[in-house]
Amino acid sequence: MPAVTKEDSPWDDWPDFSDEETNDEPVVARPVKKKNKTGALGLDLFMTNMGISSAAAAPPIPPRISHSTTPVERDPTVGLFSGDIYYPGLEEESLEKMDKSEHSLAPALENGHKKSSVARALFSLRPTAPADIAVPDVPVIPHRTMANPPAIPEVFHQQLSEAFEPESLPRAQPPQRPSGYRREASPARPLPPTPVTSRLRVWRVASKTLPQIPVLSGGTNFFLRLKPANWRKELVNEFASTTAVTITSHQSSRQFANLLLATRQQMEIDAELPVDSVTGPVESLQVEFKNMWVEKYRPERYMDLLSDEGVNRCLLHWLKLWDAVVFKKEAAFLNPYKDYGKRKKRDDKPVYDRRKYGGVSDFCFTVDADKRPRFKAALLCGPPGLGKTSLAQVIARHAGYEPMEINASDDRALEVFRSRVEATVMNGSVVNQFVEGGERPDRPKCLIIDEIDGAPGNTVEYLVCLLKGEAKATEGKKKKKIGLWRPIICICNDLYVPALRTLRQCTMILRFPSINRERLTGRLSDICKHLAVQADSAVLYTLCEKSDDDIRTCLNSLQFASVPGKRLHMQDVAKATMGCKDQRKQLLQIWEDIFRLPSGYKGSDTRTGPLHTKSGLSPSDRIGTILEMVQLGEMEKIVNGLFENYLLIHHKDPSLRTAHECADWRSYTDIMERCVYEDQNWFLLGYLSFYPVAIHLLLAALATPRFTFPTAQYETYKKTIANQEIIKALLKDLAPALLRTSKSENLPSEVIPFLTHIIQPPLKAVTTHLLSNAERLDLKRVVHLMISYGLSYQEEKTLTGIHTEKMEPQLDAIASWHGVNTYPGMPTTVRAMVSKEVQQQRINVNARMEGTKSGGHDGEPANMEVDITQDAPAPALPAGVASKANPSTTTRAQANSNNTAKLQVWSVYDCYRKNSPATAPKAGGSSKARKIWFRYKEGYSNAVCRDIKVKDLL
Amino acid sequence: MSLWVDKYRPTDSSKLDYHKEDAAKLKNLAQSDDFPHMLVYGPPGAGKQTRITCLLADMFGTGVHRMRIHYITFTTPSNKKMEITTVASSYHIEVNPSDSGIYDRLVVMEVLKSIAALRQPDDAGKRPFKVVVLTEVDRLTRDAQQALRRTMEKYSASCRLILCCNSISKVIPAIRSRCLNIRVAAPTEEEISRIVMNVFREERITLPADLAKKIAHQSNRNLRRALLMAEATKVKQYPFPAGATPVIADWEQYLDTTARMIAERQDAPRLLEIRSRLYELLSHCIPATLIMNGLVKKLLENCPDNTLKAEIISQAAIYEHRLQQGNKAIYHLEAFVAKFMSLYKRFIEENTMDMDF
Repeated sequence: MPAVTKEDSPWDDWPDFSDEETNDEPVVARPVKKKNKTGALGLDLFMTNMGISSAAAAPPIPPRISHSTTPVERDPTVGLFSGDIYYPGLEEESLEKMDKSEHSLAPALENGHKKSSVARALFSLRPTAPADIAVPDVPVIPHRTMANPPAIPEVFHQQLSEAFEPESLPRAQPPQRPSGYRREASPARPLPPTPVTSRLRVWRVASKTLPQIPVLSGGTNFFLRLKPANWRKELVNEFASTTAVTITSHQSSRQFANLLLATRQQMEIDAELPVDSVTGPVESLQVEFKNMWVEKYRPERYMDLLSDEGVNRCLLHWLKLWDAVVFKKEAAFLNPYKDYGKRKKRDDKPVYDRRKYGGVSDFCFTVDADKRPRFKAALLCGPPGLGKTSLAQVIARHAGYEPMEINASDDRALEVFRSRVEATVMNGSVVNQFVEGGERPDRPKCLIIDEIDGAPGNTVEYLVCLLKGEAKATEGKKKKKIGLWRPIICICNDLYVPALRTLRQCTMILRFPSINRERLTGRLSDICKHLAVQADSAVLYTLCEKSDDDIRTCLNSLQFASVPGKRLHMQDVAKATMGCKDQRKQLLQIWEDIFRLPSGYKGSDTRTGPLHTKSGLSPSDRIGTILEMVQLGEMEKIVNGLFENYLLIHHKDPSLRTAHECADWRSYTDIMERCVYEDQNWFLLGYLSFYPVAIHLLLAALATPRFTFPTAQYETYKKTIANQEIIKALLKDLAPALLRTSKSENLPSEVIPFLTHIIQPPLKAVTTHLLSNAERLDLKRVVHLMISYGLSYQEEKTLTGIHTEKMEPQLDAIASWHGVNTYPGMPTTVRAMVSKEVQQQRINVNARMEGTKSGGHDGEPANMEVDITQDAPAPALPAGVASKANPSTTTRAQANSNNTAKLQVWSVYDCYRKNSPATAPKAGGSSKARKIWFRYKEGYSNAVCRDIKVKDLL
Repeated sequence: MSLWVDKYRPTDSSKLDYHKEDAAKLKNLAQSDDFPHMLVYGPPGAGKQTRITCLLADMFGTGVHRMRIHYITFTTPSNKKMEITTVASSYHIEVNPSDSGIYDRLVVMEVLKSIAALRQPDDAGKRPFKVVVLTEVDRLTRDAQQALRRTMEKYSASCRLILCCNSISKVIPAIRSRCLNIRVAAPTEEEISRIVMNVFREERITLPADLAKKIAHQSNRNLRRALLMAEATKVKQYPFPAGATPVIADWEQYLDTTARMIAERQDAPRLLEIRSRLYELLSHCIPATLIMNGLVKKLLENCPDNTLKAEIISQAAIYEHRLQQGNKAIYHLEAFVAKFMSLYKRFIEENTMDMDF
């Protein structure tokens, strides 16, 4: 007998409609344990798949075989429940035949007791079936006869369960448990009968490849699927071949199937463990949400996930990479690109297909020195309703973790967040999977940070530190670095939120593509079937289309619109409000939609006019769509983009009429904008969005538009601001007489263009001695003008090491124009010469000013006036003017004050010395070697720029 | 040492070169005791500021010319500290409230209040008021102008206002009616060339008369520009060769090229090039009206037909009006260029078709 465990094959693609808590549904306990011991493998498997209990495993209500005690009133027309043959079709001889075949049949069928249990099981297939199911006399065609009894060992294939799924029974099959973690033993209750007529479905043959046993019972067929000894392997193969549509490589998909099997095993191990108390309250909480279809049909198994296969795989792979660290076992499947990444030649393209793994590069699947994955966190991003949170939860459970979710509804202040994270991902000991005595071990936690794009910035920063391994533990003096030993999955909608900028660099980013619409439609129709809502797939398809494949929106609107047992009509869905999301489209998308005719537009031929009115192609519909789209978007950016791009679009008419009209519209809108934003006439705001409409109607074409992101406006703005700053800088230093005539308005257009000419005469690049008299006068004038306008040249070295003299403030920038060659650029050497002269002159001017000032204040003895030199530039020309500590030096100082003569300075410190003026000159005279220079900066207290010791002064 | 513009600026009304009758009237006004609020307007470079200074000098004496820079700080309602630079003598203060953008209303109110509060010590028989010169009044927001009209009356005992602007169309009628409006017309080309010649004579430089005329023509009847241009021309080309041409501002050359490009070819890519050139001009802080005027002038030179010319001028007027109404200059400039291109192209096409038949 082959060792068959209760193995749900991974390709059990049946959506998991587990709904055990709903009152109306009968709940049956599942035999999860002891299966290996009873040996009733095949049937158990079958029955568990059907969600019913076998007799061996404590059946809650053993459905009685006799007529009288059957809780359900039987209808003689229903063959299955007719009560006479409950062991239908499995004739003794066929059983024996099977028995005798080299592969043994499941021993459950061998004795009578087991047989009756099987019968009960079969009976309880429809324990809830109300009595008055009016099944008409359906002609049941036996698909096969028993002509070829199978020669292979068999297990009831689970597809049988699928085969039993009637298309339109009011109550669907009994709730099916996932091979999950929760179990409940609530007793089954008989269902109040609901009078619904329906028809019975003709069951189809599940598989053509494997032999089956048709079981005849009053017009009903059963199939037993027989499985060979190496069935699992074959199933893997089968799986590999069936999913080959999406998975290109046979080998990788087989590997993947193995991986799935491994994880599934692990899940079963978990399932066998007793439910701990933690999940209890969670479950009771969930009861309240179960009425929402979104919660009710949240996927619980990997195969139920609707999100993109590549993304799912990628995340699972990444999570399994943690096995080495978390479970201390070698990861079954390290790098999916391992075999493909090597290129043979340089020209070869990499063979592996990134699409299979969500477009993630193989770098993500490498591990670091600690055997942890390179990226310690995954960042899932995508618009809402694609199943990001579900994916994270399911995969975390799937890989044996306990998901721990932090989302926006939690407190995410740094301290709280830190404590939670540290409790979760800190250096935990290796988890023991199998604890003796049936104790449930702590499963490792996987941190799921949902809606991270709304988290406070410091929280994200902390997370980044953690990921980089730089975070420090809070408690303890040692400040030990926290190791990150558990996976973190972050989820966000908008990847480009500024707060996430740093996080992006240290996570594996998984972008969610939109969901396959066919799959979503299929799932929706399954759900409808399950809830007995009749809905055409076309209707559901429209719903998906309208909601942009948002699962959540689809389900919610479906729940809203549907009435059990009634048909969902197209007009319900086609209503404007159904399933539509107010959502902002991407800017580029909006621009493209505006510049492009809607798909299906058949030219502007008037004869086909009626055709346009059909679906969104009539002009009014187009106007409506554009308006709606624009009003939801960022108006300013949209309009900017249109303005910058409308000339790039092909204009059909050569007379530029359209271009001119577009420009006219823009200028008109600009006036309106001013009315709105400056004069606060907000009622005009609604009309601003007609500019895109006008552009659309004028320019939309069938071809894909080429356009660029608008930058010119912003660049011009920046440049204008920079130039205005220059003008401000120029105005700042002007003398009052000049200032009053120089307005910021006329400076750039009138003064500066000529001023730059005037101060840059054609001077020869020679030293000042060699200049002629006239040239010297010119130079003098230039120097004076530059001083009065506060201009100077600053030495600068370019990157290439060329020495340049730059005008400061940079009038060059304002006065020079691209393409105009008359701008007078003085050679650098001349500029240097002028610069030197300007500096010297400035010093002279200051000194002169000082001289007049000190002359004016003469006769105030203890007035400690210090020279004011603004930035004496050249050390060769130290500027210092004497203060007047005593009258005798004052005269000297004044005598010399007109130029750069070196003066002894008697400074502030004089007043700390003796009061007698007689000693001062002596001190000054005796200490001629010690000259003290002051530089006094107005407004600063640290006026003395040189350290002086007291003994120097004495 | 300063530029010729400033060096030869008249300092009292007897030295003014043109509009002498007006100057005499103003002088009479200054001699009298009373003195109304005034609104001086006229095109740029006509000498409004000069005339105001002369008037003040007539009233208060040469002390007016001793000016210093005075910073006024005030706090906006949003608790933002603002500082504006004013030029003040002991008799008057010159403020450019439009420098402070949307807070100009506060400037008007605060400055006037603080000045009015400080009453002149009426010793030595001086006038009992101070003069506040507000420049660029046409750039004031409507709010500020409304604030001004009340303040003008309230503090008229202690201060007089002299408003100065380019065009009174943007000044609300309430203010216009409260002031004595004085229009300073731009000097004629002859006057400008005479003044330029005078300046050169003072500088002891010989200037060919035709060059002076060229400068006067090129200056667009803007005396400031004419004198700056004359000085720049002197620096660049002295001694003047025969047939010397004045230095033209670089941005005007740029604008010329732009106009040439427009007349050369009319299609969408060219319009795109023109737009980037317009952006360039605007980012160099060249006022949009100047760009518009320059463009129209150059485009009309290339225009072959009179009806087309009339059409273009009327369109230019429309778009210049929009320029004033709107917010961002680039849209209106581009719309005008597009309109011109479309008109011009149609005209050319029609004419060539006529020639064909």
